[in-house]
Amino acid sequence: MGKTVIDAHNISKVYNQEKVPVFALQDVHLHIEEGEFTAIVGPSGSGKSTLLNAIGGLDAPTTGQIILDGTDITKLSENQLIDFRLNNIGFVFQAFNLVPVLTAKENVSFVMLLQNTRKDERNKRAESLLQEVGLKDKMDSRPGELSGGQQQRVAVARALASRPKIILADEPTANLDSQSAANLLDLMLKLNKEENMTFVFSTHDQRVIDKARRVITLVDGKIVSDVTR
Amino acid sequence: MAWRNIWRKRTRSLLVMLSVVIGLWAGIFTMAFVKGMYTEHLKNSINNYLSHYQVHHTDFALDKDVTKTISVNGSQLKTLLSDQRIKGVSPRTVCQVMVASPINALGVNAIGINTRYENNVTGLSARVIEGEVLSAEKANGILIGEKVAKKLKVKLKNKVVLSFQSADGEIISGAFKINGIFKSSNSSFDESNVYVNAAQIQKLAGLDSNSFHEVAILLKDNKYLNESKITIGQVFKNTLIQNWMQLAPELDLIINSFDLYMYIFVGIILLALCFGIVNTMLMAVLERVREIGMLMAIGMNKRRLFSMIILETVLLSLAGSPVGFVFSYLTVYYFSHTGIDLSVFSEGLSSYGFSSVIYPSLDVDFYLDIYVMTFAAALLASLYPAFKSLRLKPVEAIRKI
Repeated sequence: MGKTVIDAHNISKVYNQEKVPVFALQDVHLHIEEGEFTAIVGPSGSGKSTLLNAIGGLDAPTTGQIILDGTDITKLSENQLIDFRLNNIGFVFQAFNLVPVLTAKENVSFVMLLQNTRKDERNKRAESLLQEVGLKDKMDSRPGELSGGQQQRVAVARALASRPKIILADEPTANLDSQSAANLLDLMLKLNKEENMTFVFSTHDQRVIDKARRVITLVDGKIVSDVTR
Repeated sequence: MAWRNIWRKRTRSLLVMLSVVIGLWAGIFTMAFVKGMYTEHLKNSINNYLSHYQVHHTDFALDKDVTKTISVNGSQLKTLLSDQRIKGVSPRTVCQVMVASPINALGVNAIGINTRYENNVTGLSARVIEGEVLSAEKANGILIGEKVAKKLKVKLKNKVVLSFQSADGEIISGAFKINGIFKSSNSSFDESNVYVNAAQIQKLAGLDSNSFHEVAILLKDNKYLNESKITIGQVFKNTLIQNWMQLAPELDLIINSFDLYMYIFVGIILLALCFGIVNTMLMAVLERVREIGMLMAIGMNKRRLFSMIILETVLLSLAGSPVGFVFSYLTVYYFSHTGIDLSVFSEGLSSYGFSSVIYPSLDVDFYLDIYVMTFAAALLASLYPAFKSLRLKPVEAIRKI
């Protein structure tokens, strides 16, 4: 058995508690080990993004406990959570969310700048990561000069830059054409295999689901199936 | 990154910078203009009559009686004139008189002078626009202001009668022939003063030739003001020695409070600019809600985010200020040499003692202070957008489209 990196107990998220309560997550238990490649699937409104946000420390659950690599993040203050995210979690967003005024290389370096990494080290790692995601010749391009697929590759490189333990990706292929989506998925699988990096992503995309080794299905905020292949 | 963020909306940022340039220029130039106007006013007041120091009988300030004289002899004047810091000394008699023509009569001050001395202090000859200055040969000559001449309906060579109280309390009169008509930059002064030969007044008032009511002392520079008082005190013992600030406290008040007014005025301009900057930065923050949310999500802490918005605002505000300062300095420098001719308003200006040609001027210190004030205003303007950005929650911000 591998090392547990995500351990969530009794996670519930309730919106509009005072009036008509809406349960986005209900009593979710989740246990993910290092190096897993996990897809969270389910229809719209099933709670996929809410679960990812809760795991990523972006949104606190109403009840329950989330332990990431031994740290109970539900007990961390807002500032401690920011630091925790910086050093332990890499995010890949559906809409890429790159900084438009920075080049691809600067976008990747930026996370390391926040970690106070030395400039030469930042540059070296940013170049190596961009090379790894196949964007060696686009280092000095700004996001506006890149295609959707290329931007998402930069976003993946940025997510890896801080050497996180977990990569959380919310619908990473949703805004990509089929070829770009397939390329991105291959890249994530390669990183998962070669660097034993833990990937958790929410998706609707059947091609992504097919490649995931573990598929967790959420319906109405509850886990209805958890299949490892 | 803050610098690059400014240029996301190039036109909008350029407009903010332009408003800073125009705001600074307008503020600085207006201040330089007003400062130049008051500096000239002060210079005129000192050079036209007041001088740097006046020496009087100790009771003269309370009771301008004709008997309140001080004794002035040639050796005292010589001693003062030998001092390197003193430009001119003029002993004067000052009597309140009624000047009458066959048509009209007016109450004025008759200033008894010796032209030779007075010219060194006030340059009176240069202000005579008609006729000539007083001379010992024409003992009963009188110089009157242009406006007095109009009111009395008299012209050169006409006679006027001066009536005043003599030293023994009698009302005495003397006929004077208009020797010249003068005009200074202060029409109020011209309306209330006439010049006559001091010897003639002394004779009519029954004063001896060494008795004067006032000694005006003009220094080569205002910087000698404090140190000269000792010398003057040694020459004129047991007298009342007053500098121009004591003689005209309203002038002193204007000069002293002027800097404060300037800072308040520029402060108001900068405050108005602040609102424009706050508005722009608020737009910049609200347009980037998603991006800021993402930055917080990937690990940008609040201190860094706050600093980024502060830096962005300060850079935006200060980027235009060097141009504003250079433009202001060049404009002030140009007009400080050529002057701004306001002859069309000369009548109104001269009634308040202002020249019709204004030479704007401003000390370098003022520019430095304004720079600090601009920086402080930029910092102030940055606070609201910066705090606004801190209130964003990453998960909510990322959801925004």
